[in-house]
Amino acid sequence: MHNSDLIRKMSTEYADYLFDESRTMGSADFIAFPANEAELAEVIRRCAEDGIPLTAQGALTGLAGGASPERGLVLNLQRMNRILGMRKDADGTVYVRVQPGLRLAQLRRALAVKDFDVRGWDGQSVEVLKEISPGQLFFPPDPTEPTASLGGMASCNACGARSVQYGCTRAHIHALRVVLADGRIASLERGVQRAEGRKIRLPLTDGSILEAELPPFETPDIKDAGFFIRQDMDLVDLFIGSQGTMGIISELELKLMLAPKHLWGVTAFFPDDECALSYVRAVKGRPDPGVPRFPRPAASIEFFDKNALDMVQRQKAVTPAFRQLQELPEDYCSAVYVELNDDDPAGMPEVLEALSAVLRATGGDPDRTWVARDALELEQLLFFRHSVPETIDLIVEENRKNEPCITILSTDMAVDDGHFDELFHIYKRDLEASGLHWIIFGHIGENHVHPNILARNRQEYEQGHRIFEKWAEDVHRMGGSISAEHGAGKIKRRLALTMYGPERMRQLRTLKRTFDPQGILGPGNIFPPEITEGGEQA
Amino acid sequence: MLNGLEPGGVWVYAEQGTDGIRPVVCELLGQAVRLAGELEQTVTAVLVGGTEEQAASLATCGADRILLAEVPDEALPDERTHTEVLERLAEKYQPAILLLGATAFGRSLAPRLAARLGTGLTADCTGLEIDPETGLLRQTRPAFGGNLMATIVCPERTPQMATVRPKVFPMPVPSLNREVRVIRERIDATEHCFEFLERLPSADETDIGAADVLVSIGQGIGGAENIALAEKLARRLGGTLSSSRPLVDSGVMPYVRQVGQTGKTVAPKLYLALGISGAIQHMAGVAAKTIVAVNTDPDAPIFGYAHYAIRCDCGSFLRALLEKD
Amino acid sequence: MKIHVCVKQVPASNETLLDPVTHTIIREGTQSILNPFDAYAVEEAVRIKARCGGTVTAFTMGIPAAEGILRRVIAVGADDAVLLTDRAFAGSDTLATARTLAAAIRKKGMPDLILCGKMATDGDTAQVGPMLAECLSIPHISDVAEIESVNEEKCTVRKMTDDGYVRLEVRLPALLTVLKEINIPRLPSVSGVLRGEKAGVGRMTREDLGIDPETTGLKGSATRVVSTERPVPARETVWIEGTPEAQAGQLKALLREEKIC
Repeated sequence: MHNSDLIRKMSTEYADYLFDESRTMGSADFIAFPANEAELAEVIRRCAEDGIPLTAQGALTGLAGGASPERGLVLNLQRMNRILGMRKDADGTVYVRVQPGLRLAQLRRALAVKDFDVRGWDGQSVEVLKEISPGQLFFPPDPTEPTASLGGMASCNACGARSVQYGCTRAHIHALRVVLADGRIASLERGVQRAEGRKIRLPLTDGSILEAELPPFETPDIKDAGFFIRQDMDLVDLFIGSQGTMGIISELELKLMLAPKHLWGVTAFFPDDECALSYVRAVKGRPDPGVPRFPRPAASIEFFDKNALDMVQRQKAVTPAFRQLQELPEDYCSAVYVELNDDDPAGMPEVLEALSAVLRATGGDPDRTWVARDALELEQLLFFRHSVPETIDLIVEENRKNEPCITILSTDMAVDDGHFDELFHIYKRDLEASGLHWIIFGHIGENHVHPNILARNRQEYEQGHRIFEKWAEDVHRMGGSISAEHGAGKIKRRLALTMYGPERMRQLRTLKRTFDPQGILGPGNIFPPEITEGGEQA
Repeated sequence: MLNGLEPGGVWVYAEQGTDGIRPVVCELLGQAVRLAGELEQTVTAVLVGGTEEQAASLATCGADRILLAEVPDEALPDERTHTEVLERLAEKYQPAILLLGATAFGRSLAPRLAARLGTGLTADCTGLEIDPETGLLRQTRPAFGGNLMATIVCPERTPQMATVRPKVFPMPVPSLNREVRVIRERIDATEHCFEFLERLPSADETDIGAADVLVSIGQGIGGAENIALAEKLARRLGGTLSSSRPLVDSGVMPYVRQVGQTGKTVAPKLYLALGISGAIQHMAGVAAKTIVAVNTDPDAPIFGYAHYAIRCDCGSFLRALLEKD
Repeated sequence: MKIHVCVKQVPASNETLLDPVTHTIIREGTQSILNPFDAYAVEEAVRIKARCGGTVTAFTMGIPAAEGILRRVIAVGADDAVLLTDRAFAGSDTLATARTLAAAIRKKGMPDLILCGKMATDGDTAQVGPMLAECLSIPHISDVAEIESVNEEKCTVRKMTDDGYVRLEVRLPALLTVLKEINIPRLPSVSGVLRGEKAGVGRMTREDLGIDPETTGLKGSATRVVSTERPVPARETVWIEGTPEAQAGQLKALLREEKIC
């Protein structure tokens, strides 16, 4: 492949594009920064001609190595970061068309202050924009990291905190344009192109049709960041969660929602984890006996164990950035953050009274809480939430100085409500017995907290992986998902194998091969090497 | 006639810092000369506790007369003492206009004095003009974080008071061999705000407001290594390193280096913004002759303010710029 | 120890104020918040109360809806709050505002200490604090970075000046304006918010204060805003293109041409 403006030879200048947030170090020979769909298709066509594998990248905020290249070409989509237009359907729902490299924070800001670059928009889009007011509409998925790209969020079906109320990214994507492995383009809209049973006839923009057969099984029915397989499924869903292994998303149409007028957050501290779990059950509408009902569904519920709080507290002394964090109450153990929204602020005192009663009944204390009622205060609670992964990042970076093989070891396994307590206790038992340095935090509202192992050396790192593999079996037994939101990427492909089993994994590979006969898309993502062996090497 | 001074006239308060009279005083005298010319009035500098030598330097900057108030030595100027002194002088000489530097002290003294005199005060003016019809001082200042420029007058009260940030106006060309007219006034002030205890050593005493060249970094600078390169560039240009708010909030940079609405207003000749997005709150603090912006995001608002726009990541650009020398 | 805190309601952001199409000020939809600088003054007052005992009373002047920020101040530990609201106060400049606040503070009884934020994020003048001190004929210290010690007689502070930090002693009653480095303001607790919602917020009108209508509001203001304009950009943006090396080279040439470096 020759060097050109579009496709450049890899050099040390581009070293930052060889790894994502998980610190999975990759390698590549070429890099391309297409600025539009035509350039994107051109790059993929040329890769297909030369049989060069390619790995798509959004904002490199992934936690499973999905955007870390495994040889070939880095396809970085950061320049495709425009908002292309808007439309409104008969029900008044507003949709916004965006390029995959657009960052969530950019979309949020544009919607919040109604600041759009309308160059190149069609007349209809400008008309729709005229009618909306600042902050009226919002895009609900909230994967904690606001600099994530929309393309990246779609490719691993990111969920995040607010999915308790709103569902994952998949639920908010109405249409996609996708460039396939040979450079042809599919334009798909939810409800329009569907499988007939397990038969797929995917129409492409050049008039041709791609035919394929879905594997004879269905993927887990709970939150899952991997492949989505259903009878009669929407073909849009084939490309959401498949982590750049089926096609590369070149454009997304996102469904917007009316923003709640008021958003409040409450962080409460508990004397032990069991009290916190009881509180979580109550705010989820399943109170333990003797605990009053909480009348309001929470938009998000987040958990922090004592190790997580201790870890941030220690980091506060070293990292001046954390100086602005709120001071923790004395004798804290675990904490739970709950986000509530409402169109009428007058109802707030009533909700807080109800929350006080729940707190007292579950072992909490209404005095040992933090309440955020406006954007600035909420920012503080979110900053606290965010300080946990930030600290993990700093510690992993530090530990890598001793042992370069170390990456972030975070899981996002999910089970249903009935199995969560069991899983939580397995996590704690296994971690306490391991002698490792660990914390548990995250999206407890949807039963997927993130146990993190902070390995200090190779032996601990390998031990961590073994614990994850054991959990994958536990979760599989409970009918859960090994990755609710980060995707299997490269770090968790082994866990994916545990979940799907070798037979189904091979069936998924057959499906992928129909779309990508040379196996050039997303090498190393989701499929472990033993599944791809036999002809997939480029 | 009061000691050869007509009532009216344009006054400048000659604030002193630890290094003597502050440069902003001369900048204000330059404006005072222009305004007094239009009003056909005189320019007076008011020096509270100072020397004949200092008085002479004020004449060089354009003061027709210097009112030298004799007060007991102060380790640190006291707002209440200076209010009392200026009140007595203003009552005696009836100035039409009084300008003060918007330094930390000026911003603390001016409101106290305005309240004492019962007159209007406009903070942080960026434009001062005489209305040709009314003869009133038209004071222009940024409002709503620089989104709008508001023009304010004080029609019924005198003196018309305004503060101006350092470096907003140029230093006047000194005119040597001017007659120095010093009028000594002895005022026994009785009021004090505080008792001075001590000066504390500071970790970082950099005054970004005084720099001619600022290399200013924002969230997009990209890591400690690039910050070190930016610092190297600042040194090479004979300038100073400054920062936008997020890096200060996150503790990477000290508060004294913060440019913007909640930090310092700066007016260097060159403002080289590296990885600064250019939020209005930040740009409200930048009154530079030339703004150069480096950012990877072509839609960053900073490019709307920049004279020279460079779409590039800061690390590559800094390395290229430093290599060329 | 009797402590008063003066606070202001400000728009959450200046950014939303101009419509991108019409360039007019958009007021609806902008959230109002407690001036961020005032939160530091409130926190410091509550901390002093925790150390020395006493009461914290918050004052604000504004529209009736400004009561909301007073409830917030009570939620984080103030004992009571007074809202100065009257059409007669509308259009006050900084001095008219200070006079009106001074009248209210006199009416409620002089405190030992008055705390204010360094400035408000909307007006950005930093004038009301020192003016209020003058109207009450008490000392003030601005830009306080730390209150080292305080009792009913005096307090010792660390203050930021143009030439570094100094330590000063001030006799009470006095007014201090505080910098954001002074503390980390706490968020309210659930019980605090409920206390704030239930608390009675006192209201005072011009008549209650017994002040002359000529001394407050637009009538009592010495300054007049005669016009507002969009700032005009001084010149067009010149884009420097090419590789980083080419960009660096061109920039140097241009700066040399302008005799900057």
